[in-house]
This record gives sequence, C-alpha cells and structure tokens, in this order.
Amino acid sequence: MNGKKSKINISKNTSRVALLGILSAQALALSFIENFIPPIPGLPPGAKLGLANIVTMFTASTMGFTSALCVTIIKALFVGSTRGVTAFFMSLAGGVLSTIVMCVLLQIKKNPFGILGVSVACAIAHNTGQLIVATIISGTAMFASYAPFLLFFALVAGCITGSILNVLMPALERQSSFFRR
Amino acid sequence: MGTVISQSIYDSDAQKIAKEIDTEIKNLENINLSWRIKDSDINRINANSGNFTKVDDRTIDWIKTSIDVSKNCNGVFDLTVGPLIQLWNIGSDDAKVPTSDELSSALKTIDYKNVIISGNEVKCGKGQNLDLGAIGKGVACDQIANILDNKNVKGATISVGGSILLYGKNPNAANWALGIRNPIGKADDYVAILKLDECFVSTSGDYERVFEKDGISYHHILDPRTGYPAKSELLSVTVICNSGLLSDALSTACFILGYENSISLLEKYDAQGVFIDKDLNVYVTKGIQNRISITEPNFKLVKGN
Amino acid sequence: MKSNKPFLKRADIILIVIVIFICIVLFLPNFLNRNSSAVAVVYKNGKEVQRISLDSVAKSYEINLGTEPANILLVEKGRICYKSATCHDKLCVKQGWLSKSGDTAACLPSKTLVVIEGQSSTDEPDIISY
Repeated sequence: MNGKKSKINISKNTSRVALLGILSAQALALSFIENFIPPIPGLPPGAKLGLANIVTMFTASTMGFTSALCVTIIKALFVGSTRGVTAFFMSLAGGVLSTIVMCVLLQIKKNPFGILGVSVACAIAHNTGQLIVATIISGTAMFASYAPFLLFFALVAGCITGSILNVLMPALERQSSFFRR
Repeated sequence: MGTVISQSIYDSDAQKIAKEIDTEIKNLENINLSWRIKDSDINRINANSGNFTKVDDRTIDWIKTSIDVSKNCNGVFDLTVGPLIQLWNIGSDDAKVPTSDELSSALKTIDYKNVIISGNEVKCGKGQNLDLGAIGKGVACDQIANILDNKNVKGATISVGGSILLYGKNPNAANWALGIRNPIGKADDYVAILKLDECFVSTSGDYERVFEKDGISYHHILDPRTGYPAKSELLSVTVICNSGLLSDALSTACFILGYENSISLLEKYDAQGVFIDKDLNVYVTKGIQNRISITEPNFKLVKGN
Repeated sequence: MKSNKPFLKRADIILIVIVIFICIVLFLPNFLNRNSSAVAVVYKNGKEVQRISLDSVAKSYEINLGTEPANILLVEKGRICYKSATCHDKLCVKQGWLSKSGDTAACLPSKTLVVIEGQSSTDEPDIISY
C-alpha cells in the first residue's frame, strides 16, 4: 500500500526459516568440501577440520541456540545419509556438544573469549563428543589413546575455523540482513 | 558352532586361506558334528538310536577316538552325555537346574560302551544321545591344520572358541609364546607364558560358561558320574597335545579328575598339562616344566613328577 | 547482532597456552620412547589380542583379524598397516603405514585398533588361552 514500505512483506518466521535453510546448505557444502582433504597420517582417522562450525558459530551468535541446533542436526543427517549410521552419531554428538559450548560461551554477559577462543573451545567440544560416541559404540576404552592427538588437532582446527569466520563475518552478516528486510 | 574364530596366518595368501578355513568350519558343523542341524551325522545317529547309521569316515574316526578317551578315563569324559547337557542347557537362555528325577533318567542313558562301530556305520544304544560339543572345536583345529599343510603355510595361530592351534614356526621368535589365562581375571589377563612349538592347546575352566540360580553358580563342565558340574579343586586345566580332538577331550576329563588322577591319563596320550587350583598353585607336567615362566605374583609354580 | 566481535582477546591466548601445555604433557611418554624398537599392539573389541615386535619380522605377512567387516593387516619389517577392509569408509586403510610409537589406525565398525608402542617386549604372548 504505502510505497515507502518494502514491497516484499514476508513474515518473520518464514524469513528465518529461509535463512536457516541457506546456512544449513552452506554448512553441508563446507562439510562436503573438507572430505576432500586427504587424511594426514598420525592423526586419528575421521578427524575433520570442522569447517561447518564456521556456519554453526555464526548461527549461534546471531540467531540463538535452537537455530544453531537445527543447522547441526541437518548437517548430521546429511553426513548420516552419505557416510552411514556410525558417522551420523559421531557428527551429531560432536555437533551438539560443540553447539552447546558455543551457545554457553556466547550467552555469558562478559564473555572473555573472542572468536578465536570460542572456535577452539567448540573444536575441542566437537572432538570430545566424537570420542565419547566412538567409545560407547565400540564398548571399549581403546580410543582414549587418541585423546592427545585430538586435543592438539582441535586446537589447530579451531584456530583455522576461527580465522576463516573472522574473515567471512561481514559477508555472512550481509547475507543475514538480506533476510531481515 | 557359533564360536569366535580368530586367526593370524603368516603367509602372503592369508586372505584366501582364511576364507577356506571359514568354509571348512561351516561344513564340519553342517555335515558332521552339530546336534542341532537336522541332517548332520551326529543327529542322524541319535535319531536312529538303537540302529546302525551310515556316516562320514571322519565322523567314524572321531567317534572312535572319543570312545578310546572315554575308556581311558573311565567315563569321566563320555561322548553320550547329550541328554545331560540338554537338561542343563547351560550357555543358553533356557538354562535351568534339573530335578533329581530328571538327572537320574539322563544319567541312566550315559554309557560310552553302548556305542558300537561296524565298518562305516555307528550305533548308539536306544535312548542314548551323542554329543561331541566338547571336542567340536578341537576337531575344527585338526581340520584347519590339514588345510594349512596343503597350503604350505609357514606359521599361524588359530583360535576356534577356546581351542587353539599353534601351527608351524613363529616368524617373530624361536617358538610360540602361549599365555595361560588368569582363571580369576579378565580375558586378556595371563598368569604364565609357555614357550611351545607346533601343537594344539585346549583349556577347560569353571569360568567359561556359568549359569547362576538362587545365588549358586553352575559351570558348564558336567560330571557324568553325578550329573552336576564337576566339583574339582581346579580353576582351570590347559592341555597341550598333538591333536585338537584329544586336547579338547583331555582338558575336559582332566578338569573333572583333578591334578593327581590326570597325570597317567595325559601320559597315555603323550600330552602335557597346566593345572591351576583354587589356591592359585600352578601344577605343570614334566615335559613342559622348562618352558613355563609365571608372570603373575600370586601364582605359585609347582613342578609335577 | 554484534558486528564488532573481537577476534583475539586475552582469554583466548590463555586458553591456547593451556591446551598446548596439556598436549605436551600427554605426548611426553611417546617422545621418550621414540628410539626403542617398535611393537605393534592389535586390539579387538578393546582387548589386546596380539603383540608384534616389528623389528624381528623377517618376511612380510598378513593377518586376518576375523572381524565383520573384515580387516586384513600387513606386517613388514619395522611397519604395519591395514592392507584391506570391507568397512564403508576404509579410514583404517587410509591411515597408511604405522611405524613410530604413537602411530595408530583403527576400524570403528569392526572395533579393531592397531597402536605402535615404544617398548620392544619379548615377554608378551602371541596368543592367550581361553
């Protein structure tokens, strides 16, 4: 009616769902791409950089816990449908734990950590979740010997994803603002 | 047989050989040994009790050897224990403690002397029931040794359930190092190491298959003389022999007989044994005394005569 | 929406330093054993099933772990690897050769693990009676 208002009057929910859809797709794409990195010997098999965490972290900081959880679950389902049930539970456990950690850290009023610290914490949580699932599935404690490797790898991965997120932040925010008009 | 087979075959064709072994085990169960599978030799003999049944030559051999062992140990190991084993059914979900009436009827049928071999036919007494479960895994090991012979394999360690085959030469050392499992510990705890050359090894212990009812533990090595799990002062017996069937049969018999009464039995078959009793004494027969070293502090080595 | 999220704050650096410290502590035992001869330890279902002294291997051979999905190990002088597996991901095979203490490869679906340990122990059994 009024020419001044935007012509597109999509309800808030719909635009949120649409944005989540885009973010999830981006998470899936990142997850897919990182599979092409050859496994480095000396590292536990299946250790992934967790590039999808870039998207999840952004979602958590701008859209809250439930939204981030959606992205995590969708990504886990994708992993599950391409790599099997074991991979599904690994991705789910790592993702959920990581999402919880990042939301807790971001909700704290005086969050002492910058993007780098949150990334590293998330990566560690992610690997911890996977280690727990691996232990439960195999019913043994033999994967505990992986712990030091996973810890160090999480540190490196966290730094990398944190840096990438830092660089991509403006672009991601622009993407979100498109949906809030 | 439904048991775990683990193999380490030191040969470049290991994969193919392993497959052959798996096939052979299945054949053994289907054709010869299983009392569960309808057309197996043993089942047909049992179904036709009182009459002669024609069976595979290998089955005849195994029954012959089983009768021989039964004779030499005075029936403590007896191939006709089928009814007793099925009564208790230890190891399955239907395990139960039989009544004394049930036990006496079952015990009445047990007598290896009523198993007659004539040519390629076997007859068990009417109402008898053969069960070669105690030696099935040892027999499997014997067959596996044959396969390895045919393939000219240099060395292998095979375990079918608890029956072990140490074949050929150890590529990593002068001989094979066998760990004697700790009867009161976890599955990978061992109390002694035995250095052995090619041989078959079987262990009978009161920890393998146990059924608990009303606070009492019943292990699966039944004494055909009483119908109940053998009351032995032993926790476990490990028998080393040049035949899988014999090592299985002898380990069962020796567990029931106890250390003292087993010595002459083992000598008869040129077998060696390691006996662990409730006080954690480890008795070792003469032939392997220089090959054993105890690795667990609470266990005491007692050299036999 | 926070457009000015700081990248690096003091707490971040502290966190990273602590993590590095923990890693060093956990890795220490491995580094101290680097020079001893390598022993490959094979685990099935969490239980140790075999110890192989890699240095005393004369001729290369294979080991079939008898699992489902199947795993075949290849043992050579000084090194070991998963030669083939019928699992979906084959991450175990992709790990390649294990030769230095701390090297590991595992197959999660078949619950097997191979770890290289530092000490060469001639006192471990090849197989344990049941």
